[in-house]
Amino acid sequence: MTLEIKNLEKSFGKNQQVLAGISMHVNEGEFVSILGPSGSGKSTLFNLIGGLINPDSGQIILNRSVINGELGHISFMPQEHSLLPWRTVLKNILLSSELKGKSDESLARDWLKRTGLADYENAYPHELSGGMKQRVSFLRSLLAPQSFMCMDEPFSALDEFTRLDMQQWLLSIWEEQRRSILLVTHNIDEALLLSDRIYIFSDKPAKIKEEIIVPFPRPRQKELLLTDEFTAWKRKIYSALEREKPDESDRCSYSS
Amino acid sequence: MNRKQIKGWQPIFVILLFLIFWQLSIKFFKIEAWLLPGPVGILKEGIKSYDSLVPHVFSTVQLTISGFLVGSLLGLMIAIILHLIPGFKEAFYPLLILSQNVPIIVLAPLLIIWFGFGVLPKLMIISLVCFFPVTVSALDGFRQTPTELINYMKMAGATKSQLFWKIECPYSLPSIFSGLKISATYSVMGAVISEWLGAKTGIGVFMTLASSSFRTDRVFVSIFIIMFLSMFFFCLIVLLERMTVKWKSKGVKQK
Repeated sequence: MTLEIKNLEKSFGKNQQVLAGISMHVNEGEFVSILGPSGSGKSTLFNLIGGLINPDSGQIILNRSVINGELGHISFMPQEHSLLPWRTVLKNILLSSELKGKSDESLARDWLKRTGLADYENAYPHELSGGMKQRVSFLRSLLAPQSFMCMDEPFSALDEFTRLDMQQWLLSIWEEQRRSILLVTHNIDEALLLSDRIYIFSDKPAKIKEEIIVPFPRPRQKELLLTDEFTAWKRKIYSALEREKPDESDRCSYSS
Repeated sequence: MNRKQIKGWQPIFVILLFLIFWQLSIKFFKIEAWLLPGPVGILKEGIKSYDSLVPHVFSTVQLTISGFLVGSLLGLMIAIILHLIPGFKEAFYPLLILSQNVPIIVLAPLLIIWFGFGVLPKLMIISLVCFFPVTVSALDGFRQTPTELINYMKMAGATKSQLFWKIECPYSLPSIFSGLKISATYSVMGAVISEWLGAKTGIGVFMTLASSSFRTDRVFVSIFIIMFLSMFFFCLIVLLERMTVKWKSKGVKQK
């Protein structure tokens, strides 16, 4: 599964340009993150890839076919867990495959077991903690028939400890599965720890400011977070994010 | 657990207190029985006319249930149609509201003129009272389905019917049940009103006969029966809700 985005532009209304010519790609089995300030149009990008809205111009290409405005091509993991409260954990996980007509209950059970959720098979979402809900939500998108995964700040609502836990958990599953994943986040640590490549987005209208290839070997452990090399990269990204600030104030003074 | 038991007994205690107060004030103010009988007198009358009451109650219950079923099914169907066909809701909603502004008391005799003394006009009256709460609550439920759930389903490639049956329908179940609870109590009233206007048996008939012969105690017997029936149907729906909407009732228990 590969994703290629060519020169994507999107504006809402007349003056509000959200995406200004985004070009990027995700290779087969690659974990790519988009890092940028909140409200920089990252969610709009996902709505575009997911087909909920149409771009003004540009192309979204999944496996060599254009999917502009087409629904049902990607597996999405939203920011809010979006689990169905009336379905048990197992039934929630089966939902995405059920929509396409084939649901494999034993496979889902198998995955619940492998990820330590077997005891919660028949629990309802309201009985789970925030972290658990996100785990279930992740499994749901992992077991979806669409193999390209898009994750929209999946851990942003969790507390720091749970988030670290979840990142570890996700890392261990992903390094085994090697699915193509596009993750949106505003957490630098998260992006560095998880991804192969990082695109840094500018503030609205979003442009790609920089592409960073993360050099850390896999499998990665959480100890990586404490190494000097990690901190050096973090500093690099931080300054890249900061660099737009003067630019921003220029624009403000110009417009006022 | 302890608290729950107390909770259950409080309303019964209040009702008992009210009945005792009623009984005592009748004794104290020396109110004639044909004006206002006491609860003891009403109970005695209820036991005495038990045999003649049973067929009346039975026929009212029958009418209530069939009217409720027809009315709420109709209400659900209307809601689904208005929801699924774009533009219909805006076009028909005012008409629905207007339908509730027609005074039943005036409409009922007309229906009997048009359709005779059979079951049909009676069912129509009950349905007219019953469908509205169900339609409104179902429409609200459909409308309030969170957009993030809908967006998620759309991105996952759900068709319009999957969206309806897998998301909007289960999501609106609790609010549909609120509508059903209201309808269930209305349906008893609807049945009694329709019986007033022409029927051979039923609580409504028993009530009219009693009030025209100044048997106030019997009027009160029928009032209590109506109250009990309304309560009974209400509880039935609550029970059904607990069985169907497991995810919600469990959540409440946890708190």
